[in-house]
Amino acid sequence: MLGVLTALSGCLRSSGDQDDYQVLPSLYELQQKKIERIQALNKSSNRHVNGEYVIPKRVHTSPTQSGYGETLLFSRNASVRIVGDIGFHVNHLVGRLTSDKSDQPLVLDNPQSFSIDVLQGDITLSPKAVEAILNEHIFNFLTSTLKQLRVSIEGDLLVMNGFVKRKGAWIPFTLKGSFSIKNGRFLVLHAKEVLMDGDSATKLLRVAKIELDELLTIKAPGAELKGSSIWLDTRKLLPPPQINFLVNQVAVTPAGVNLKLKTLRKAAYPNLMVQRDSYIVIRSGDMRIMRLLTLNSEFNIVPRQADERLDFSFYDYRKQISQGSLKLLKNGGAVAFVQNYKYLEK
Amino acid sequence: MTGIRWFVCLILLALSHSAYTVSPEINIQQRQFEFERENWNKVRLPKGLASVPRKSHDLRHSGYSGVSMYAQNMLLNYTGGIEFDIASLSALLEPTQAGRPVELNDIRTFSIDIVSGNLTLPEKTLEFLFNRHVLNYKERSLRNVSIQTDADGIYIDAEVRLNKPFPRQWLRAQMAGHVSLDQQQRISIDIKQMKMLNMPLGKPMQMLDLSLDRFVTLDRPGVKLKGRQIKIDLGVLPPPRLNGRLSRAVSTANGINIQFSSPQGIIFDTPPISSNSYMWLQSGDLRLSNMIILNGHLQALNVNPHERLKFHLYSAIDQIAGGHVRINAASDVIAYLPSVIP
Repeated sequence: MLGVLTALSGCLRSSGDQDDYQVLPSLYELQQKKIERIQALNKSSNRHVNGEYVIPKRVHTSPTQSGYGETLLFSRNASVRIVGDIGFHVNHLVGRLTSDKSDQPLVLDNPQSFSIDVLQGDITLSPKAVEAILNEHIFNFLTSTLKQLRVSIEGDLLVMNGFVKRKGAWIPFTLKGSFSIKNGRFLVLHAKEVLMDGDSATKLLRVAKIELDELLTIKAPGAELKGSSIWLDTRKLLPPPQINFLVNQVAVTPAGVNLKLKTLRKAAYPNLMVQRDSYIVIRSGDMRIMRLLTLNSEFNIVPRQADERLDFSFYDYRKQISQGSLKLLKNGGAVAFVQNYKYLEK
Repeated sequence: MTGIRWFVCLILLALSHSAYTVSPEINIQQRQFEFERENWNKVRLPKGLASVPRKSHDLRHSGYSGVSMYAQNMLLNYTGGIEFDIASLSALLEPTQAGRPVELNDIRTFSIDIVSGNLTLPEKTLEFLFNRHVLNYKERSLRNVSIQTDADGIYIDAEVRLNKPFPRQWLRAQMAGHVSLDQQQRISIDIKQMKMLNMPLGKPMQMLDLSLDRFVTLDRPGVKLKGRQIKIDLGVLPPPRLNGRLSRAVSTANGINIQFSSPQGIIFDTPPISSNSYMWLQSGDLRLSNMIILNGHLQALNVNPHERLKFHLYSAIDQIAGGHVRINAASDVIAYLPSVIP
């Protein structure tokens, strides 16, 4: 047996090789390189750096916590609804989202659990939105003295038609006014023209030096008639999430009430992960979106319909996501192609 | 009604008159959210895995250690050439460190504990496993292994380098053997026939009571030549570590079929999308890059519904990025994956 094998090997002596085998990287080492590439991609995204606004990292990080405690929201050319028609059109907007529990992730599913501090922006409340805000939110209580309000624009004046309660009776009225700002927080609608039951009362009130609040009581959380002006508190204009902003300029335009908001901090808009000009980006910090927990988030929200403007609703976003789709990217970001609000199957 | 109750009712009425009424849409949404939040924390373990303890849960953790998984009629690809053809598989993905989610980015950080299953290692996988993984070292005694199988056995064609005192020359050898499970639950390839340079050696070796391991050395993690048997256990595979109690190993026309069994039956929920080829992660927390899917309910399917699912474990992030994800109204996550990574 040994002889046979020796003979065999002898036959091949001249043809065999010494096998200078180069050991290849192990399969595990190759996967390690992939991990490093993904980690580098992630790190290079620098979601905490937004121009001058750099979000600090807390000391504590873990596999379920990124260590970044702030979340920013960027939006351009989008309709943002709080609920139903209550909302505004965003020309551009940057805000900081803050959870009501500081060490917990933001829960997008519950708009009542976080607030938004606007850092810079330009938004417009359409007549329909103002109508919804007044009817469905501010004056939506049993003893309200205003009801069935309809809002429209005439030139540079806001026109409010509806019913006002006086001495137990509902009287149709029209108020046309322009806005000013008080302390950056209050929008003051100054009555320029008042009609009661179809007849103009403007001249009479002016001549008799009667202020509207001597005749009518209009008082609600977020709105109060003082003199002949209705004071609207921007902090109470909208249902949760609490949106805090200061107004620099207000103007009535054909599109609605345009508010140019005060710049509190400058932040650079991020590059989107898809080519769109209407979007919301939520960036940095940790966030719950349904059963997903995003760490050091990069979440782009765009409409499924590529040629349309984003129409997003905070209270309906779950439906919008479940009737759309998501793309999870190698760099750890995600793009949600949401169903626009108007197409939602309710 | 008593006087105090009237008083309380009047106070509540007064308050309701001065505070705005919450929109019905907001009320509906809040109720839906509360229902959904309970859903997030629901016990989702498959029946039969009740012994898995649950720690406290919050917005970042479901409290379950490990991810319960069921796979049906799919291909599980480790890296390029290592692919399992899975008929069915029930397993628990266990993080190596307690309290962490299972991180698909990093195959070091978890093990796959198979409870029951029926899977096949195809011929090409066996070849790749030997050539690229097991025999990837300088002093190897085997190279250029090619393998064929059928219901009768396994046929190995390779170049063999004999131990000293023989010259270290490469010789072409063919081996034929029978596949079975040994008493230590290892795959055992019993070499019945051997030829070298077309000269049969099996009978002479048997007659002289000479074992193959005297001439050829094969002793690597998970693979050992002992006598004339090649013993293979689950440690032969690269990470993630595969654990499980093998109950059967046979050769078939498609490769080596191995089966796992457990005295406890595991019953998984029916996943949301009806398909005959899928992977269903029912409970536990899974991390993909920067995203954690909490408390399971993730189903993976082929983006082409007419194809079997092929999951690339070593390139999971790339594969998921090449597909798309949907989240249904019940918050189930459904990942549609391409077979080929773009």
